Amino acid sequence: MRIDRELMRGAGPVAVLKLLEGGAKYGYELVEELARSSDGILDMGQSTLYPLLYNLEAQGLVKAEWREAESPRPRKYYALTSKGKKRLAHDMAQWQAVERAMRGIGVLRPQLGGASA
Amino acid sequence: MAETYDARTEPGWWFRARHTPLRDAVRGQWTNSLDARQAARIAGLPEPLPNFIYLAVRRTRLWPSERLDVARELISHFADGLASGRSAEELIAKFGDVERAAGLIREAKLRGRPLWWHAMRFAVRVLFVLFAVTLVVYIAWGIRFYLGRPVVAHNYWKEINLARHVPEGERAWPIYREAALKLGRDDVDFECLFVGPACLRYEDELKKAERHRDSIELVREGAKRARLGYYWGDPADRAAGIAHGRPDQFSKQSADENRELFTAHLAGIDLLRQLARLIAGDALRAAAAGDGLTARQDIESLVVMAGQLMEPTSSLVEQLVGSALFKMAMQAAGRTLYETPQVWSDEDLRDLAHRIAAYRASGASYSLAADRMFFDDLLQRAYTDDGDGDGRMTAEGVQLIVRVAGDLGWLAPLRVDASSKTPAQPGVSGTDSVRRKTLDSLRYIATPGVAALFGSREENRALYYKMLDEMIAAHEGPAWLWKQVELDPLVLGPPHSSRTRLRYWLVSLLLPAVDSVFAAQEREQQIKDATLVAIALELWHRRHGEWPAKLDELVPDLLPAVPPDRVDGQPLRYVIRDGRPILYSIGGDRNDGGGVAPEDPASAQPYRFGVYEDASKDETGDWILWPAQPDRPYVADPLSEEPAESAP
Repeated sequence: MRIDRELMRGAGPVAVLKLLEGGAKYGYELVEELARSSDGILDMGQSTLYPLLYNLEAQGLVKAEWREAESPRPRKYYALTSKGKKRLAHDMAQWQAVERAMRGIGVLRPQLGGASA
Repeated sequence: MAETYDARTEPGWWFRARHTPLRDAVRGQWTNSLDARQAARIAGLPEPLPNFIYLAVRRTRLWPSERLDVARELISHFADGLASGRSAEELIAKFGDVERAAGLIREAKLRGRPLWWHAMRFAVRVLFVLFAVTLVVYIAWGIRFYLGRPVVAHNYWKEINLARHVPEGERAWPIYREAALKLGRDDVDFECLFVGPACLRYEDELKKAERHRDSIELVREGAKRARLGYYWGDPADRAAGIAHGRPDQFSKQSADENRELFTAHLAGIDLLRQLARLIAGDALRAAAAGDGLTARQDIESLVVMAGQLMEPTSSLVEQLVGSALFKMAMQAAGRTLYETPQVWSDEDLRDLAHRIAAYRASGASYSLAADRMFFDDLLQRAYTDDGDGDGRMTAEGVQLIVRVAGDLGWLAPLRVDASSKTPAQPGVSGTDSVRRKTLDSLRYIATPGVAALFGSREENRALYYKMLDEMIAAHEGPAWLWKQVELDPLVLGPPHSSRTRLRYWLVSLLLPAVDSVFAAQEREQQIKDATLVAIALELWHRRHGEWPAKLDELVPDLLPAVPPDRVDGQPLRYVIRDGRPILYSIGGDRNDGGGVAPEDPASAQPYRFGVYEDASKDETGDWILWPAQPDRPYVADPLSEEPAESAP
């Protein structure tokens, strides 16, 4: 299932930030993990991912670093900054609020026991 | 993917210069290490990936260092993809739309550029917007400017002529014109005849004057007429010139044509000056020959002729010439009184005195109406007319002003030559033709901008009239009561800004030398007074066999009152030296030197009155009014009485 561009525009950054929460990652790794972790739903092409990463970098939410020792070929790793961490926490709270709202109005199925995600 | 690149092509010096880091360039090493194409080529990726990477980053139109950074990341990305078992085609297909990607990458990278770059981009955009707005406004202004047309509603030639209209039987001018044209092609100015036997051409001019007795008689005839009646652009003048074989004597311009008033050629005024020198010279000749009657008639004719020029509607130049003519008459009378007074009887002297006293007896008044019309005429030809006396400058107006300013004006580059309107001539090189067209285009573009610098029609007219009125007011009464004023800085200089001075540049360009007409009036009044006192002194001397000790003794039998020294208002100065009387003024230095003339008479203008601080301040010594000093005549050069900058 492909996600609409507008929805992806909102979900993409927070998804990337969330993936980087676990540690620095390079571009191809992010592409693969996004596809795998979201069952292909957030599988964005590189034509979307790299501009997204550059935007996050321009906003100071991630920082990029070339590393040459960890592989035969240099890779550019992206890691969360403290500003990025705050933004992630903020965005996650917002997504959770959206999820609750969506469940409340029946867009999402209620979880068993009434607990929210 | 139709677009490709040739990795084997050796980059040019400019490409290498742009793709070499500054630190390498400083060392003189053109490494080309920022070249994304080279980086993609040497990465070892299979085709078509290097080409794809290069084209993707090239479309971002980023800085070379940014392109290289993106290229390296894509190289790394595709290398990882290949390592995971994907083919190059699969990776390219999964990458997505390269055009969109390049656009998004560019936007993101630009967002990440340093603050100074964003500030500069903002400034450039602001400048561009300002330029665009200015351009639009200028184009709108230019269209409005070129659509504007002056409306020539008045024929000031006719208005001037109407104001000075005289019944034909009372007009003196046709008689003077006949007298002047009868002089034929001699084209002699009779200057030596007026100066005297010391002048080189005196004998020659004397003979010519004898040949032209008929002209002298005609002048006397004209002096019997009530008014001059000299009309500007009168076709009868040209017809008379043609009839006498002098077709070039008068301009072809007719008042009916209503051409620019400043082009008026007052040839008649030149002829009157020529006649005046003939008459004054003849008076001196007659006096030297013992013919007192002829001398007196000549002088009286000259006085009348001067008075005829002093009509209320006379232009500044006409009044200055009239004043010069009167002073020539007084110089002839003064010299005769000093050198050969015996040629005149007591009755001759009394008649002469009455005739001189009658000259401008009611005083002079100046409205400078003709000069105002001169300015109004220029305005109506330069500006549009909104019906309420205001208007804006037109293209025709700019060209008119350029013509008035002449080649010395800063507007000269805007002048449209007749040659620029004609098609290219054979023999004119293509380069010249292109250059001319370029200059014409620049002129066409610049003219509305220059026109915007000028004040409106009403602004210029109001200032011109105000300045004339102020100058007239500053010269109220006799010279010693004139108000000391500074030259108005509004149009003539600091402290006003260049912008303000440009706004009223038309006024400064055309403002007549009003002070000169008032100074001339004071000079003629002073010399007139002195001549009347000299006549009274001669009559006293005949009665008493000696000169009076004081001028008061002439009052009231021979004079109603002792006239004032026009410099300070005190009685005219009088001294007897070497048994001869001297009448004098204390002069520009305002110091009574006992009737001693300046040591260097050429150091300053003679008898210069003025309201300006610098008038005669450098002149020392007294102004000897009678007898006239050979080296300081009342009229050193009658032609010099006319200020060069004056309008007609």
